[in-house]
Amino acid sequence: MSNEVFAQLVDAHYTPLFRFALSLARREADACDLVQQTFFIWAKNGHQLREKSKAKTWLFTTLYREFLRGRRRDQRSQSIEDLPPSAQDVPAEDVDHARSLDGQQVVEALQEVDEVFRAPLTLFYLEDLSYQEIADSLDVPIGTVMSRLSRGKTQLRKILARKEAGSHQDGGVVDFPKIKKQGGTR
Amino acid sequence: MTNDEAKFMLQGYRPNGQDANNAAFKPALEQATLDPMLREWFEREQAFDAVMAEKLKEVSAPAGLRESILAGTKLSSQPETTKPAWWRQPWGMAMAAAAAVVFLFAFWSPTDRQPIASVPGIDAIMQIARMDTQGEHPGDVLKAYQLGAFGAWLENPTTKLGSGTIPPDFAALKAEGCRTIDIAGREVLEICFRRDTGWFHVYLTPREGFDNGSLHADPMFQEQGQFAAASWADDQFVYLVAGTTGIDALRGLL
Repeated sequence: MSNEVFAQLVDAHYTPLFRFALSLARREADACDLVQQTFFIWAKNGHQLREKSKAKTWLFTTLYREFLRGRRRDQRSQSIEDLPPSAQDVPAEDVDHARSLDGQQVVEALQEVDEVFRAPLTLFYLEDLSYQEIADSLDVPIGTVMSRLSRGKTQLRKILARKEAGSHQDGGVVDFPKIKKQGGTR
Repeated sequence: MTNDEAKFMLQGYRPNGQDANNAAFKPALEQATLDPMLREWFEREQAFDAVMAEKLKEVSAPAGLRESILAGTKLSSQPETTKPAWWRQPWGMAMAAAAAVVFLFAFWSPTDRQPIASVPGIDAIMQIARMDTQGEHPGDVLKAYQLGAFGAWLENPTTKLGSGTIPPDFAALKAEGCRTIDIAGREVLEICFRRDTGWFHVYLTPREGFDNGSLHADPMFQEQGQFAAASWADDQFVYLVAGTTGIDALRGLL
């Protein structure tokens, strides 16, 4: 892969990868590390990928694996996933409240979602990957992705509702970077 | 298909319309057109998802991340069957230079002695460390003992690096092919060597120009995860040795 093609690959994907990493790692420095590490691994092993069209999925997969490699899986997440599915609908006011938020508040809310739901939910909202590609990236069955999306959205709404009610207490999220409007960097 | 089944499927439908041609959604979408309650639910769901997606896209990557990625991987993006050791490639040399700068700066600037993770440029160091610990060390590396007496001294398992038993002959090491790095006009020599506990890298540079008050004869350690480094100075040189096999392995060298 030429340097020019590699630069195009970076340009196309480093921002969504960063957003995904930030939702997982919560700290900007750690998110940057994850993104850089992902591209380093691409530089090292990316040529082994036969279908170049799958580079995007490969990058998200690699980043997620690197994240998982960096820490042990949370037992609590598994127990939460075992809970029965939620059929909670979206109240109309949830949409209005969501519109009043800024990007930072949305990411902070996502960061509070349990990790097992957070990864597919963030990938879904990034809109870069289909649910099939999310399943591939996270190495889970499609049904599991759907189930996690459902539970993740339920959790997210509860978190947003709690924030709106003013009952949210800081402490779980640190070092969140300043948010710039899209197109502000590069 | 029941409404619950349709909901289960449709909550994976991206609000930007990219799934419009995905046949897997077709039955659920048709169901939504036929059932007003399901349609209303789907519209609310899509509206909520669209807002969340839009807000998430407001988050920009930090300035410099792109450049850092490109600089770090620029020349390593081409697979090579006989790839030289990463520290013998230009990008590796640049990163090694960055490592040396960061550590020299961190260790000897009294106002900037801080945890590695908060030192500017540490990303490059961490990438080096991670790559080093991830893959096998390349086999075509020029061994330290090939650089002469000082290299052999480095690889001798009984050698304690802090002892200064064999002061390096800077000019001779350069003449023997040891790599040097220009760091802000200061010539820094780097040698890679192996001990039982793994690969290490030693940097040395004449102490001229350093603030004597900031130099230490006893090794000062820094670590982050498995990455560890120690630095010290003698009458002639400032030394820094780093490895990715943990602080205990590094202490064993000194």
